[in-house]
Amino acid sequence: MDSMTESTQSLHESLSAAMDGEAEELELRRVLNAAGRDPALSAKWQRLHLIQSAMRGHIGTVVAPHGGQRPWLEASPPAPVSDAGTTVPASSQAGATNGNRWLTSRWLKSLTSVAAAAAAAFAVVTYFGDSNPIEPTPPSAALAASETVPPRTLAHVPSETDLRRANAYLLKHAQHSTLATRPAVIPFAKVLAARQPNAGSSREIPVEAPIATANRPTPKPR
Amino acid sequence: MRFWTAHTQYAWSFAIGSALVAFASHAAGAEERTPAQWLQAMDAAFSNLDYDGVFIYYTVNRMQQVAVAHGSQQITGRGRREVTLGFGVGYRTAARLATFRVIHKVVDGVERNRIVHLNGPRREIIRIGEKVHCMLQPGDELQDLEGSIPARTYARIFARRFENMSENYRVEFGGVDRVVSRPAVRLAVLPHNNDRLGYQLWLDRATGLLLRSELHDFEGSSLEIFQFASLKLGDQVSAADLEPSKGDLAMRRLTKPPTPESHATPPSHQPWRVRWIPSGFHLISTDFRQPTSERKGISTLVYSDGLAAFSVFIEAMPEAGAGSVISRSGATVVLTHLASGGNGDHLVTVVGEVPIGTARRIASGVTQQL
Repeated sequence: MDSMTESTQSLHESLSAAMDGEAEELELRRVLNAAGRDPALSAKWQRLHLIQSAMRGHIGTVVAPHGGQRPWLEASPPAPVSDAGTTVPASSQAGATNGNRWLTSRWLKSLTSVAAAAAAAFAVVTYFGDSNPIEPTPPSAALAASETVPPRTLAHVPSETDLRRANAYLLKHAQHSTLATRPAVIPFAKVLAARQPNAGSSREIPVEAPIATANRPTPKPR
Repeated sequence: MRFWTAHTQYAWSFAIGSALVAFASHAAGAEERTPAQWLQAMDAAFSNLDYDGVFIYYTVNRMQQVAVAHGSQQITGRGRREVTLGFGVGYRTAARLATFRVIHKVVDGVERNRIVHLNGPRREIIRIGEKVHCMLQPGDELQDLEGSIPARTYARIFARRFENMSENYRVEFGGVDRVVSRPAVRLAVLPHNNDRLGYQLWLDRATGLLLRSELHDFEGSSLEIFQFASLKLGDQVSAADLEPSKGDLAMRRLTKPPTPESHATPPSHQPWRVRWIPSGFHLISTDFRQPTSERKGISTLVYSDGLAAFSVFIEAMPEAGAGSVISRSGATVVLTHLASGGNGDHLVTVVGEVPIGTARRIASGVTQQL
């Protein structure tokens, strides 16, 4: 296992970028692969998730794919988040505190499960899109519920239908805007230049990573 | 016919007073008008001036790529378990550039407009007074475009409120520049808060016509650019060029015919309420469609602060559920939200020229008035 070499340092930076939704595809893949080997890195990822969760008011949960949520921490030990506004130092020591040790061991345990790892990776992708925090539900209950009652959350990955609906609303809005904004030629241009989302390209989903949002508390100088 | 002219004047919030600025052809110095007067001049120029030009419209879209995750694990020779994750996950920026010809001429006191899409599918917008039509080729994917330009609006009611726009923006001179080989005055329209977008405007020094505009987010990144690439003014503009192209283009009406349904509902009778909107935005149009056997019911609320607009669409949650969409096309965001109410779950879609954080805040404040 590498010590804090230059390459490890760069991995930590990539991790921060991934948490901010600013990582490129290769960078993110590199972090995900490395996280499986480096406890310090995985612990940091975990902490960053918790901090972001706390900022958004649903600490202790990380969004899982398919609209459900899984308690990231099944028990509830004191999370290593004392101040939701602070950033984590780049060189974090795994196991420095009880909380960290707990997280690290938990994390490593969960990493051995491919399903959990996949869920975690999806969380990176979809987490920022989640605007409907709901009460954490035990996984078994969530699974059972999804089969019997209509979905109470939006699926985190939009379907072709969702994109078409969004596109139709985009066009309607452009038409409304011809009355509301000036010059009207620009909204008209939006109508004329409209394109339907490509059928069959479900692997490429035009979903914005809401990076530069107004409510983002601490923009990283990057 | 008067409707459109009156409306567009009111809609532009900087228009103070009803007197139009007289446009002489002599060049006016940038300092001869205040920024507000320049914006008023821009508004009037778009309605009153005859122009024929080609413009480009450039958008920067943020795209996210998601591929299905798959993984495998194997036990290595030393008994160590290794996990390999195969992901295709990432973000990319996709820029788009569209080109148009726009012809505008006032004929017998009626504003006439033709906008022609020059790249890709042949499409045209034909506007005569308040009637707007779209010309499309057979099989165009826009065929199912519904005519949804509202027949009535609250514009007159809110025109007065737009006067205090300086509470939300400040307008500054950005110096003199040159666009489409014409001297231009540059204006910066800067929001006080990061709940809305900012603008850079280049106005023709002689006529006030907008030659170039840029929308940018609070950090100063450009989201979309509009710019004339060629321009003819005044007598050079021929009325013959207002006629739609000959050929196989079919005409579709974009303005909604006025029906009892589309009458603006007084705010007190609206079934939906938006708890938070950015300051300075006002409701300019509403539409509440009851569901029928043929179509679903959709409630539409349109807000504007005179510069930007956003629409809120509310519908009953589809049986198959819906996905979380957060996309951005140029300055326009589309964001979906689940609204749980006493009357069942609803899908809220906010579309508009606002930052994503603002759209999210708007969406989360949508509540049913029971």
